[in-house]
Amino acid sequence: MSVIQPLRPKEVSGLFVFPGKWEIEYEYAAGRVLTEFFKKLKEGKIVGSRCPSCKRVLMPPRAFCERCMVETSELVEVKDEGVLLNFIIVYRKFYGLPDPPYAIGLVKLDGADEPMLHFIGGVDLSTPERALQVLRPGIRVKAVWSETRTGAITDIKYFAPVAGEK
Amino acid sequence: MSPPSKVAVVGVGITKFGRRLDATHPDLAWEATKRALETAGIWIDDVDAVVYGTMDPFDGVAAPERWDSAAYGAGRGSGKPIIKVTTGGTTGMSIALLAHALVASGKYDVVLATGVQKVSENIEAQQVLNTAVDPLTDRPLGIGAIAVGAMQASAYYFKYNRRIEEYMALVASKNRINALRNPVSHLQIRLTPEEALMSPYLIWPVKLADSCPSSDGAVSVVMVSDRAAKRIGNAHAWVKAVDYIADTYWFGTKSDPADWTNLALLARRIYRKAGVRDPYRFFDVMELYDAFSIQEILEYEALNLAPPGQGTRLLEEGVTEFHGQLPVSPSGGVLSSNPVGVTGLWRFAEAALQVMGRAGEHQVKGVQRALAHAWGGALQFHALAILSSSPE
Amino acid sequence: MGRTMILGGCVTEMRDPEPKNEAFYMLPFRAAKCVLDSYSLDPGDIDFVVSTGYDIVDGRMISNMYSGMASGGFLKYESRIADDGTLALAYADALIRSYEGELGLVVGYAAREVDLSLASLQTLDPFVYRPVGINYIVQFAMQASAYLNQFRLLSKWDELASTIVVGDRRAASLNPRAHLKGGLTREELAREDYIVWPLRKSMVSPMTRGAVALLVGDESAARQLMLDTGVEVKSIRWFTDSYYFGFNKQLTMILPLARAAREAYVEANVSNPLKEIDFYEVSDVTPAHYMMELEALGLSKIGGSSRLVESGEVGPDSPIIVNRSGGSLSTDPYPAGGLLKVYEAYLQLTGKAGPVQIKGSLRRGLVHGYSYISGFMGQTHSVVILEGG
Repeated sequence: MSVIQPLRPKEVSGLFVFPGKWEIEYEYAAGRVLTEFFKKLKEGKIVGSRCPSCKRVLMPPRAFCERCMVETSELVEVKDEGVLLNFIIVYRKFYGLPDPPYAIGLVKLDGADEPMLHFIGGVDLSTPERALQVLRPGIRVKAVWSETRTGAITDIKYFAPVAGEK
Repeated sequence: MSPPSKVAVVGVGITKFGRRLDATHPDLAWEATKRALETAGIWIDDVDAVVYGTMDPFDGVAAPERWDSAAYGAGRGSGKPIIKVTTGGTTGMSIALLAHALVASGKYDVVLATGVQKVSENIEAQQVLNTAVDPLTDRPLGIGAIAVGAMQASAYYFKYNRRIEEYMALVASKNRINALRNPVSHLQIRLTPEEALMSPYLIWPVKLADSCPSSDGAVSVVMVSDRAAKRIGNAHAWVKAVDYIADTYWFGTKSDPADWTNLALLARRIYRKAGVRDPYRFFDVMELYDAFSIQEILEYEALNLAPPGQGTRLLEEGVTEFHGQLPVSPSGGVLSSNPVGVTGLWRFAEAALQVMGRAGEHQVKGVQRALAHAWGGALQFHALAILSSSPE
Repeated sequence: MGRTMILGGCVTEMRDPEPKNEAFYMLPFRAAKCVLDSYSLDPGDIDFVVSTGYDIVDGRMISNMYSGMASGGFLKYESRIADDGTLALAYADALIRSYEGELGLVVGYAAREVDLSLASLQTLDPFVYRPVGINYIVQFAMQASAYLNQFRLLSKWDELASTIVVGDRRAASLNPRAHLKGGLTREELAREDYIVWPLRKSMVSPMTRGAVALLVGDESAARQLMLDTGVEVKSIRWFTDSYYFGFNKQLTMILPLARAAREAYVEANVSNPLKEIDFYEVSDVTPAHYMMELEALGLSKIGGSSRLVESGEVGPDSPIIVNRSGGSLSTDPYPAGGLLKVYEAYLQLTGKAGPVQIKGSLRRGLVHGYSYISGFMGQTHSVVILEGG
């Protein structure tokens, strides 16, 4: 008979609070399209998927286009460089999430019809004022690739403003 | 064709929001339900069916409607029909919409719309919300709800107004001061616009003062058919129209976050359905889902109270203040309390209370028609409901 | 008053969870897309989409952010329930009958990217039930053991269970839409290990990966789109019992199902189900549940259904036709199981069930949905009565 570990409540103003944690493991299927996307990332390339109906190149690539309700037909290589459309800068530490400061932006890569989300780096983010001296919608950014690539979104370290934007 | 029945709100129960160490999940369910039943003047056995909603992962209990079921009469007789909806931030309004459909279709005469949420029981809500975004492409970026609110503010900053943070501070202050009139509110702080502007950035351009708190709480609303309304309730708020829209998750597919286009589309649909030509004159009060202060400004514009980029004018002119011509979120709004999965139902309930003339200290004078709103998902879902003092 | 009709549907392949070769939302996409294509519909023809799904099962909060779109919900009225799929049909029924929409899709899917028993544990309260580790299979076993003890069936259990399981599997082997198609012999079943006594491996419904989409609408939508009017949803009723024992919760009697059935019979004008309902599709998650469910549906007196099983009066090709499709013991894409059964009943009533088509003219079928993954012993049971044209 296995023994159940005793639970230990803590007391807050006379009332019990029990510790808890969800440790549930999942296996998220990437499927055909995202698998190819991640394999290409490992090679230092970025692909989108083209909708055969509206012809848009979706980013990140998906197996179907929800506007047209059709499966995407082909993967299209896009540039690892494009335009920054929008960005935010994180200043507070959120438990379980990356250490601040970091910026996340919407980047429309050349050849894609939709922007993708990723970190924006290579910029002094210590205060919004400093960051805004460099970052603004419309500037060109380019992928900075990770040294170790595993076939995941983190194979791109971040997008950084290209020379001349700084 | 008109549906088999009109639908009226006859009872509302709202718990005190905040960190509720004194109550378990089912305790909160009962607290709200008992109050709703008392205001309607009925008992749980008079309820034909229950529509329940919550955002499960926040509370660390999945499908808590089963644990909470005792609060809804499941332990009496051979049980109670309970159905669970969950659609993210819109969940609360989705509860109201399904309850409305169940009554309007003639299936049930008395339906309890209800939800319970204990957001404070997780250590970090943004960590939980991070599990909402795509696990393969977006989760590693650490995106949560504040990040998507910040995307709206940043887009607005560049597209329309470099002084947007000052206007966000006006919203933050207005709704916190409104909350002082509402005893259920989680935050009870007299926040000035200057203080709001000085609060630290969480995610640029969103500051601490621009963000909602993590609240525990429960809301129950009794909705009845026109037939049952003859015998139940002393005050009635009639549901004139409801509608819902779902846009895509993918940020790249949606419109520029500076404009809430999918909400504008839904507003157009429901205004047409209810014959609203000029929302500014039609409505006496609105309860909007302002999880971040920027959102109230985007909502003004999407709801056609101001042209794109001009929502800030309503703040300059004080139109949406408590004593303005069209008060928005006199309850204190989501910036003052956010029990996420029931917050939409709370918007609906506050709109109903205003129409019923039962909002107490935060009652706006002479309310005939009110609008309730909720948004959810990755800025992608919206629900709207129009409540009226007249069944016609 | 508007009437809700099931106008068509599609299922994906029902199969083992492995391989996980597609993103989870491709399952609802394939089922919904198949419906649109099969009936020459444009996504714009659809007024609403209602799906069923659980965040904890999908491993992502608000999983309908993806599955709603995949189900055809783009810029539509879209909603999601977290119960057995029959309750998504109940939502659609309410929308149609309140004139909020004329034509919609009801979608359910099961991707199985998580251990379902672990997910079920998280639906229990963290103080009393969860620390004891009673996942849904343990709960099933508690019910089975109590039933066998109360009605003195322990000595006959293997015999009864194998009649039910082997019967379901035999039916499934004829059904192209079923999951576990390989036959199972009584001997093989008797040699299987117990998962939780008294339940052996094949006595618990399998983990099935798959999706179902139904096209639902009122008569005018059907006429406009020149679709067969299909079958009418005469009644959907459901009940939830308590989380705790001591009030109405019984181990051996499913009171919420009995109540739902009673109300559904009244609403559908059925006074004697045995005579007026042609076939039943029940969520037989274990053979013990099969027997308790027949009793709750009023097909036998309490504790008496074992005699119907022994005598061969109930079964996929018996006088009382139960689980012609192979039942949950052969195919269980939770929470789409109830919708799959509704689809099977639709096929029967329109003569399109293929190799498992019941001979003779059929008028009414009954479907039982069981929301068993959450809460204590499932708690919510639903009954759908469908009537052919």
